[in-house]
Amino acid sequence: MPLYSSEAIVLRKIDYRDADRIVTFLTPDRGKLAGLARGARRLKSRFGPYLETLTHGTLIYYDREGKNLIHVNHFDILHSFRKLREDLFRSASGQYLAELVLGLLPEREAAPETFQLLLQTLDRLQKGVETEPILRIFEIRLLVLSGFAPRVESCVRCGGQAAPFGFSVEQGGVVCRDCRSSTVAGVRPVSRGVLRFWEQALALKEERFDRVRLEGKLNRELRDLLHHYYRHLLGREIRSFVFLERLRKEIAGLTPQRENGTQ
Amino acid sequence: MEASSLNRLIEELKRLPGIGTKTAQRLAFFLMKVPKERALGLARAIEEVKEKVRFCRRCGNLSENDLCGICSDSRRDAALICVVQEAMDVLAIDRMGEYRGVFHVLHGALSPIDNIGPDELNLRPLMERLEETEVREVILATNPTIEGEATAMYLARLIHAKRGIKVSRIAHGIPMGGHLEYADEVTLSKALEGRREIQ
Ligand SMILES: [Zn+2]
Ligand SMILES: [Zn+2]
Repeated sequence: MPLYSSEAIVLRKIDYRDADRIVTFLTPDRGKLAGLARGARRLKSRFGPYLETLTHGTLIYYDREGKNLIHVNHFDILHSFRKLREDLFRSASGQYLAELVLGLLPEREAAPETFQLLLQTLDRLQKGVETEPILRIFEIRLLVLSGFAPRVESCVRCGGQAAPFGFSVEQGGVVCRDCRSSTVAGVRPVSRGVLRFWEQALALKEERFDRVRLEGKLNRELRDLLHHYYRHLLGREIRSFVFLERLRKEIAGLTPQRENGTQ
Repeated sequence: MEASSLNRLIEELKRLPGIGTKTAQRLAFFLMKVPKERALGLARAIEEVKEKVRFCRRCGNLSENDLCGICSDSRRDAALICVVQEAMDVLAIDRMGEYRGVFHVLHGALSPIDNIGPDELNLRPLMERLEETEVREVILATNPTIEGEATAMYLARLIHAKRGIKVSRIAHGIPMGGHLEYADEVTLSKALEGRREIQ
């Protein structure tokens, strides 16, 4: 049985049988991989306490031909993103990222760029002052990396540039002023600001991340649009997104100090 | 030999957690060989549990009555509530014999991706308890997993917003990713002792 080693981020864990876990990882070279971790729920498990959602580590595993699940042999931690876990919004945001990756990526297909994107975004989430721009940039970049990016540079129907644009989930991109009238239902208005931020999110250089600003109204418009689009792609509601929304409404108002990323 | 009833027993045993085919076969053969009274005793015990045991109206713990043994024990400090994820955790903490407060069982932890949000947990009864009774301190003893931590942070916010109840979190004698039910008594006792207040 061949033994493999790879960097990995834990995306999800499901309790299995008495003390085992089925863990889904994101790896650079083989993308999304699900594996059986025997005894992972025991306190003195050989995996240590680190086989937890959103930990980054080195995964050692067996992969038997014809089996769907890999066999997790070892997982050594590199980053636990502790600060992220210790904040309700950041923790929920991290889990939301994991849900998007889980929903969008196929199994066992190399995804080195998506891996880097998730790793960097988790790090930004625990360090950054504002979490909302970080989430929007991730959502936009993940669409491009996974091949599901909508067309936003010009009209999907005629290639034209006549503003104001609308956005059609069904057509997979923006629709110009002229084509809007002939396109049936489901076209929502989209502002210039949204399209400008979209472009910016894709072009942004690493060192400029901290300086990105996203004004509240624009953020809400972008957030709604992306949520709508992801829901269409996944064919279901994004549960962690709904939970984040609930936290914003229910919790943010309870404390005097403003919670990060609740604008 | 026609042994379909034996096969049925093996199949039923295999559905139990931690029981594979081999163990199921061994147990089934054992039950076949023991005196009838002993085997039927097991069957009756299962039947009784299923008929009698339900959740305590106040705390969500397992109980044969409307209120569980802990909630109806007047020597217990009802102003100190320890919040846990599962009824198994009540057993684990009570086994130490040091904790004199009462409990609240959530029956899970927040895990949006698994469709477990605040409404899926036994939360509302806890908030009602805090309204209706005099509570001094709430100890959040959810597991030190990402879900358990999120649940503790969420609860801390809700309780702080309501009124001036002290909210504390058990110390991390239990490593991240661990489950309370697997912790030994010394670890658990230290975790409770070393709890810190959440501001
Ligand atoms: Zn057009
Ligand atoms: Zn009770």
